[in-house]
Amino acid sequence: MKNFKNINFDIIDLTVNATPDIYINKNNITFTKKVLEDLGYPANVQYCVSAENKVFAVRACKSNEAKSTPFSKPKGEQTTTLSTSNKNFIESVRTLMKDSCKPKLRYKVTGYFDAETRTIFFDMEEAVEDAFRTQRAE
Amino acid sequence: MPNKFVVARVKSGRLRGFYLIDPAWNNEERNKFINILKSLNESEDSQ
Repeated sequence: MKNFKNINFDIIDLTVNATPDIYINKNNITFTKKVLEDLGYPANVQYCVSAENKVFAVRACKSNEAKSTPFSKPKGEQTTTLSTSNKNFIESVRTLMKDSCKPKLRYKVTGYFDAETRTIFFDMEEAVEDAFRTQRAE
Repeated sequence: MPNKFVVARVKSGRLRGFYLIDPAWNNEERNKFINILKSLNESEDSQ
C-alpha cells in the first residue's frame, strides 16, 4: 500500500481555465462559474441584447441603474452555477438565435469578457448544440 | 476580441446600441419587444 501521507495534493481550481459559457435550455439560462468569476460576482446585472449584431450581453451594474436585476451572491456564498428562468430573458435570447436552433434543445455559447465595461458578450450566432441534452431531448 | 463586441464606454448606465431587457415585463410587453427584435432581425437578414 502506498504511503498517502507523503503525497502532496494540489488544489486545482477548475474555473481558472474554463470559459465563460451560458447554456440555453428550454426553460432557463445557466451561467457557468467563470461568468460569475469574470464579472466579479455582481449582486446586480443588466441583461442586454443587440438585434443588429445578434449579441446577448450581461453587464455588472449598480442596483440603482436602469433595469438592474439581482444576480449573484458574494463569492464565498455563491457555490454553484447560476440560472434564470425569467421568460423575458429566455425568449429575447432565443429570438437572436439562428432559425435552425430548435426550441427544445440545449445550446451552449461561449462569452467574451470586456473588463472595461464589466460585460460579457455572447454571440448568439455561435450557439452550438449541447450533446448531453441532445440525447435526452430526442 | 471580435470587433462586434467593442462598445463605447458606459457613461449613461447602459451599453450603447443595446436594448435592456426588463425582467418585470408582462406577456403583452414581452411579445411587443420580441416582435421588435424579430423585425430588426428580418431587416438585417434581408440586407
